[in-house]
Amino acid sequence: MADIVRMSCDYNNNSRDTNSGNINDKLSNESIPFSIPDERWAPLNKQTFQTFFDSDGRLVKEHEFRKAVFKGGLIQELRAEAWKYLFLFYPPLISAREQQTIETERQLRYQLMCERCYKEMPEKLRLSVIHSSTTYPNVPPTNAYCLIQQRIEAYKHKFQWNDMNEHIQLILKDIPRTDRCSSINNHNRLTRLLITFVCYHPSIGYAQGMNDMAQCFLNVFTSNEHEAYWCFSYYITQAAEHFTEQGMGTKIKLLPKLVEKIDKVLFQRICELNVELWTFCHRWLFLCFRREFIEEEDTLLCFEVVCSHFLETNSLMSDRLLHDYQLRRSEIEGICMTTKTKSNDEQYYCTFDYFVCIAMIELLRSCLFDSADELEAMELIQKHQKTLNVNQVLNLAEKLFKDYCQILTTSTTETTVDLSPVEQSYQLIEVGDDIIRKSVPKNKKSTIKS
Amino acid sequence: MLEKATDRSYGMCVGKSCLLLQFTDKRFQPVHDLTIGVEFGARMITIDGKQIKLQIWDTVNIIEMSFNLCISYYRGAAGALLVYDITQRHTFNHLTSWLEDARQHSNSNMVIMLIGNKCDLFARREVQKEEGEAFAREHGLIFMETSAKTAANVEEAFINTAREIYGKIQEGVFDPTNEVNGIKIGPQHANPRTGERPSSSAEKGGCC
Repeated sequence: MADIVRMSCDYNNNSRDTNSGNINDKLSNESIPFSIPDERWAPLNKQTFQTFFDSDGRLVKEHEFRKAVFKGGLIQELRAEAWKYLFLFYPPLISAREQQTIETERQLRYQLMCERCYKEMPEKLRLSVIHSSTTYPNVPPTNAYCLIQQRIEAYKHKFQWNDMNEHIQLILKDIPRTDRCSSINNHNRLTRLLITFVCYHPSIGYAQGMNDMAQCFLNVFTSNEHEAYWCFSYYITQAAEHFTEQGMGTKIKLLPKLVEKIDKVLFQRICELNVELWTFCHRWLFLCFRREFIEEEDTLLCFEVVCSHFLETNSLMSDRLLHDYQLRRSEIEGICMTTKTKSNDEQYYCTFDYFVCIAMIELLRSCLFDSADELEAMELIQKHQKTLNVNQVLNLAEKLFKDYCQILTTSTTETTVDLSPVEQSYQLIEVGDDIIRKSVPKNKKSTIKS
Repeated sequence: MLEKATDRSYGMCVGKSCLLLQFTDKRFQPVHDLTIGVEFGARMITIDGKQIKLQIWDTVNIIEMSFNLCISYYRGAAGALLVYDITQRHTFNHLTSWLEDARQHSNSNMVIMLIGNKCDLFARREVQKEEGEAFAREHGLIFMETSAKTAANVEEAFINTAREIYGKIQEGVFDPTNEVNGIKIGPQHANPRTGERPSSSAEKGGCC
């Protein structure tokens, strides 16, 4: 507890706060309509981390682990180890001994995968890669059985070089343009990691911005490239949608809807300024705030908080929050609310990054209110966004999420009556056609909105 | 006057961000982080004794973005810088498709300037100056070769584009009271609410 208290003092006296001082002064004109609670914890340390495991080394208290990451992030020394659980490098609930086996297998597999990519690459392509990439150097000592098994795994996949050509060219071009990536050695690792990823995930391919994300994993896992690869690979396959044109479009469309629910005044102001496509936060969401804080430590903190998946739609914690709010409400109003709320709040699948994004907009709201037009606002935001304090942003984001849950429970009761006719049609079609069934709830959303 | 420019790339490293940096900050940064989303630059210039604020958008990968986002980048652009790299033939080959795209989504009066960047690397030249000139003539664009590294013609490129837009305002092609054109007027033409700002027009530039 002492740690937590000290942490909050630190945060208030934080020297970096001086930067954001100007903004906060300005905010008095159009101040944030929320008080920002200070509920951040101290970063998770080794000692506490150990308490989440049982005597066999299984991560039995995963919920507590994710909560701790969400609330305070990780201390730097623990980050690489903890990320392996956060990004499912180890399957859940396996013992320390099994973890060791997995570690060896994955290292070996990654090495074989890199080797295969390089070997099977068309001659012409290999020539362009040769200077910047070599095969993965660490050969782990291992038994023959494991080697055969991993070789089979690594060679199972069929390569389609025709499609790869373009991706690899683009990767090679982006490597020197990657954020916080400097040395030649680093370039080699990044190239190898990305090429291997692209070869083994042709349906996802390479999108600009992935290089920044991969670099982030390489920075954390310093010498263990295979760990960076598997964690990166997990992250991207989870977020694959967002690296596509459609995925980003969906994100940008959902954001205004959330802002409208949470802060109508701000929403109207942004509409007034005519930045309806919210260009200023594309990068924030696209790179998961990778470039939005000055200190690398801050960006990593923000990233692990979002990736803890502790507070987002359908997470255990948000379900609990919703349930609590419903109970409280029904106690006051005497309304019995059942599963209807559930079906309604699923209309948006909100990950925590939306709320971090909205928190940042809230903290930059003076930029939006003080400027006369879209361009001026964007210029101001660009100028000020890097001065934000990461803990303040995360605190506000958490509060906004809770507010949003509360809004959901209240708005549901209001719309219950309107919903019933739509819900009937939903059930009728359900019998007939699966595909139509999916599209009908969408209409339901628009009905609610209108 | 306020000028706004969209830069575009297909991940081609033609030097859009470097051009912008050279123009706004007068410095060259050989390795520039990959542009994601939109970045902005602004600078005051003077044309015919009038203070003009150029506002330049540096964006990326529009072609890969969904249609809606794409429109957003073009919206309110008075001008565009269409940039290719003289040392990379394929960047030049993409110009036609970009131009079609830009003309389709933007204001038909948008001033487009064609720029062959990296002219300091003449030893590695793949696209001749004459080819650039011919392309510009054929499509009615203004043409210039620049170098973000040595700053050659960088000022001129932006300022000439602004001058062209300014000319179009004088001729009455652009209606400066309509913000859709990307042009905004300051105090002397009176709009009491925005009175304290310098007179402005907008340009968006783009490149491939």
